[in-house]
Amino acid sequence: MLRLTIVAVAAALLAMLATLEVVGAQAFPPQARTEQGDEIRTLYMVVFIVAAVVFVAVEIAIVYIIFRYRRRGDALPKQTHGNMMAEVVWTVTPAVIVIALFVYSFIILENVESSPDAGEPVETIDVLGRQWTWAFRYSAELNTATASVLPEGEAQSTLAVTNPEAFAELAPFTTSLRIDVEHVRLVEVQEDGIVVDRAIDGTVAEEHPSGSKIWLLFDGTETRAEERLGGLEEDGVPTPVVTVPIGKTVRFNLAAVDVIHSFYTPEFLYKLDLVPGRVHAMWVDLNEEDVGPEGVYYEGQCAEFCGREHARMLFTVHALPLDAYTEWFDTQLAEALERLKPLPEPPPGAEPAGEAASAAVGDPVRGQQLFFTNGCNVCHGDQGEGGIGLTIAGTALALEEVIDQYRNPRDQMPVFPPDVIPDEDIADTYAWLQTLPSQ
Amino acid sequence: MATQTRPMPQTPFLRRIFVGDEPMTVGLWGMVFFIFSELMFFSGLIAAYLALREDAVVWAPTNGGHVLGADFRPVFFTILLVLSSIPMQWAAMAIRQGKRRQLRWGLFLTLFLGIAFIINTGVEWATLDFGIGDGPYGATFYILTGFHGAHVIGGLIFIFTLWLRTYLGHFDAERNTAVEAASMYWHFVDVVWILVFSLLFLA
Amino acid sequence: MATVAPTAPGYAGMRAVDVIIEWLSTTDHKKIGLLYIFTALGFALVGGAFSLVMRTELAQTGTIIGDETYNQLFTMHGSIMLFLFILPVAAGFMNYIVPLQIGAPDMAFPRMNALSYWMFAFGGIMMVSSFAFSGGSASAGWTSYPPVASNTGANAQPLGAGTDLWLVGVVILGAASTAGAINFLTTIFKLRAPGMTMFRLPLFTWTTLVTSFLVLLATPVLASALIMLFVDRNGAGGAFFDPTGQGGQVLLWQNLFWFYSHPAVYIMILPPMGVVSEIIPVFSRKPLFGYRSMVLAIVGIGLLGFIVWAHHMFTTGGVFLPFFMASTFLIAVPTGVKFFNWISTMFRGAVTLPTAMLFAIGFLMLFLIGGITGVFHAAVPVDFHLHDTYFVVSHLHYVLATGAAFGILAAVYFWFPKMIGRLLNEGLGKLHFWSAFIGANMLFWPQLMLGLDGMPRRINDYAPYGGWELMNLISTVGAFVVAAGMIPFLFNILYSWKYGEEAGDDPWEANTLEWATSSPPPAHNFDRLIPVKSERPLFDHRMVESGTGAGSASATQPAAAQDG
Repeated sequence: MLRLTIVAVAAALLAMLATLEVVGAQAFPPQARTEQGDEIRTLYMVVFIVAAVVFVAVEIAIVYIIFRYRRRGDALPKQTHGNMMAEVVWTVTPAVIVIALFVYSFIILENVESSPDAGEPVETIDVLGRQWTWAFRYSAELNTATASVLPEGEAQSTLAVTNPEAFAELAPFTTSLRIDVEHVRLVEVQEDGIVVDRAIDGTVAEEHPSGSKIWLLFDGTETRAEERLGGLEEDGVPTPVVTVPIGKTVRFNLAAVDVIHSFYTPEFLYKLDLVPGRVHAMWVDLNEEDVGPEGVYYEGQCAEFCGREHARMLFTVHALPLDAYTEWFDTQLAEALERLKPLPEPPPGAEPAGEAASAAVGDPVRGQQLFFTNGCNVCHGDQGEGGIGLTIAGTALALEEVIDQYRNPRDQMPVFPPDVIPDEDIADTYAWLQTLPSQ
Repeated sequence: MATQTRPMPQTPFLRRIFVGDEPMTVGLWGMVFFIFSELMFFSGLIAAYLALREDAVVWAPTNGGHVLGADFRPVFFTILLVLSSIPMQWAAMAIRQGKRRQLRWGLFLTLFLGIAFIINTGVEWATLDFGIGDGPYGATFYILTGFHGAHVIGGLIFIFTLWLRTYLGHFDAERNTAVEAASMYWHFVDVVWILVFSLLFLA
Repeated sequence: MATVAPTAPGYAGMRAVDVIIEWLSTTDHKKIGLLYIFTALGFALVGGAFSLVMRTELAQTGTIIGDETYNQLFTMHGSIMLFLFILPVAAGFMNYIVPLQIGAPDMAFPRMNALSYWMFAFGGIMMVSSFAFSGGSASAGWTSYPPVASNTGANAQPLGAGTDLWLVGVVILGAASTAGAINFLTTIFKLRAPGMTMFRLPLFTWTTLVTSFLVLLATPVLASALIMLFVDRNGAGGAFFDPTGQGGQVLLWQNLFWFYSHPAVYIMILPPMGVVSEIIPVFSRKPLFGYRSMVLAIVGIGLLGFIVWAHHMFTTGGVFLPFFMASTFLIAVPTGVKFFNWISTMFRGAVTLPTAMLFAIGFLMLFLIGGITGVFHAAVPVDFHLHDTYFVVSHLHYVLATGAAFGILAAVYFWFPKMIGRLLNEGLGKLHFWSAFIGANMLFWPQLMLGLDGMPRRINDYAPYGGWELMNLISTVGAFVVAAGMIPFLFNILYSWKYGEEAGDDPWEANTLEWATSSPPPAHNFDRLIPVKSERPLFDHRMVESGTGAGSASATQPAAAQDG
């Protein structure tokens, strides 16, 4: 009887596995493409083996007992109430197993979450989640560091820096910097220091010590319009692409602008949430070999429910070998520096418009500031050149039409009611956009 | 009056305070469990207060209002509310011995002190320079004082009905579960206020 | 036995209006129990219909219903199944059975009991009625995470009145179940029959006791969080939970929510475990193996249940991972103990397989999958991959659908004869069981594969190249197989209510006091109580009646004859 049951259950399991094989699914996660993913996959395998043994043993026991001890007459079976020894054994055994699993999981967890040793080169990429798309920013090292402490809780602060010349070519308001893990906006360049505004992107202001390196942040989001989405691509919105190097540790800084999102690439076997008000670090070492200079693509998407178009919040990881990546990075940086040059002084002829007239049309300097504090640049680019959102530099629309777009947006733009962004502010921003060359 | 015929030390102290020497009635058990659930409700609110305060970027009201301190008025009315537990306990102990007149007075005094407290809360709300929408401090302040106030009002209604019922000839040395329950509940409301007051005005 | 077989509560000669008024104004725990059970089954049909629509949407790529409709459907499917089906249907069985099992005439506070039911009905209708309002029902998921559930700050899709109705509805439901818990606790502590010591309580009563403690201590915390979210949406401008609004904290909600909602998983699974612990001994004709270790396991699950809540938040980056990983692994131990005890109860028993026992064994076989897939989530790094994928969806359905709901169905087949006085039809019952058993596996097993492959939950569409289509299609077919199985079930209830075989007092040769009175029991429950000298008073009584003496049952004794 026991033998028959085992054969029957084993046959059923084999049939199940065979079916899975035929339809192309399997009982394991995808092959990992990162060192962290490899660790997680190894742990999965260990847990799977323990689970499979327990599962098969218990199911066989249940099925066997049902058939073997079927009622065969009116005789009352022996009324056993328990067995101390057995009960202790089957309390202690699972306890030992789960403690072993805990210890092993703990070791793997340490490995997965560990940051690289100081001095090891790290590629830092900021991941910004926004309903319902992504933006990716890259950090270029500026040859400078803070010479004073960045205090806690202050929106604007003046920082002494070691090499102020590094900022000479950068425009105030349009330039984002990163100090430690924190985004700041360059507000003003002074003789021996800089003024920065840290109240952007919803990041939390923490204290940062002096001596932190200062990095130039630039947007490196690319898009990919190929048939990524199938049925998902109804609105024709292209998928954002994050370009990453293979063979160099990547640190993703995760931040959300509005609600919780989750940065999930199945082939990394790893996800971490983007929580408004927090910045999370995720370390990844891509390790796939034999990749040509054109690189490989992995598909990812938001894994934490984030509202109406959650299912469409997709992204693609474009992994490049290190030299191809460096080439790509340099091109992007050069383009960004071109965009980030300070505005030319307005031509003298433009002045006599008069105070009253300029108030009616809007103040471009204030408008530029608002463009960044309101976060317009996240989608429309630092110079209105477009990105996830449309190109709006030197827009041909009338001011009234632009205001209407704020209030009743077409496409994916969020609604901005008048109590959030009043008409005057839009007029100012509009005035600044008009000073930019249309593309 | 069974209490006098029985040897006193048999009953543990706390039990004697809250229940007397009679066995716990079903109703009192219900009240005990109810108070546990209420305690967890306030724990949720207080946990939120502590978490928000711990990590707040800006704690003071965002409209420029002022964070309250332990001034004379809140301290005075806190003492008033804590004192109101004494007549309530006095009333409960009285009815265990069948003294309905003393019960009536005890309930009346408790009502008086409780109403004074709740009126003060109302006046305070009307004169504060911040609202519930002015950041985590404002929001937690109103929700903690508001829910505590609601519990005070609930307790007052409970005690008021007991007070009316004394005129209908209800309650004696044997049947007084409702009074005991009200007394327990009122002590609980006091204890919660001490917690809330310490967090909002002292910490 | 001494119970005079009374005719089932006869409504002959009563006007229909009077019958309805009697049911609407009843404070009898048995009638309230039935009201709970049938109201909850009604809600379950609604929630089940929603799941069919969702599975149809997911059967292929492309969309049939809009994004927002889909979001509303999965939100309300989860909310209805948890808050309006599993919790109240279990409350219904507790209401009906627990006073009978401990030999009490009614609950401790009968009027509060009626109030609990009516609050549940009102809160449920309030929640479901949100579909009628502009903006539709709540659509932030049953977890209702802010800022998605907020209307403040930078959220691009501020949710409307449906969310407020949902919040208030759940507060009312919470108040109802807290009042119920107070009632159960007082009843079990104070109204036990003479001889019914704590360690003679039937296991279903034990699970009710521990469940009620969990409800009593966890639900008020949820209520506080719900109220804060309501205030956040209506005045506080995000000061509690939305940092982009007035400076609140996102993870605060998750901590408060899961402080309730993880114990809530045990609130939902413990009573079905109690049911299974009642059924398996009866149909194995043996006492429960390891009664005391079973009780300790229940209490242990209850205690550990309070310190594992953050395992729902492993990927939020705001949790002390090792502690919650350790506690989550540990909670597998008492669950394992229960499994060994159930299996040992059947071992060397005399097993019969009526539908009630089939569902209990179905519970064992499939809840096991739910338990084991839970271990994958406990290993934090593995959870980094599996969290918020279909693996979780499958895991929680193996726990709640093939676990809790199978336990509930077992309870229906087991106690229907006691409640109605007639047996459910076995043929229809077996049809129901096999379609549920096979359908549920077709439904949920492919979802494990999808989750391993990285398909996120709560999406209404997916790309066609990922190889997810076939698994989704199988899953959808499974859903319809389960749904088809509901037809014989519902027909069975209606048919057997009137034409089923007469049950008699004790059709199963059961052990506990509810079978020592008539079916259905009289309004005051017992005409005469039998003495309680062990956890199986009726078994002892049968032994006495058949002249073998209480407790001396040896393996060779013939079964006691049916009681007259």
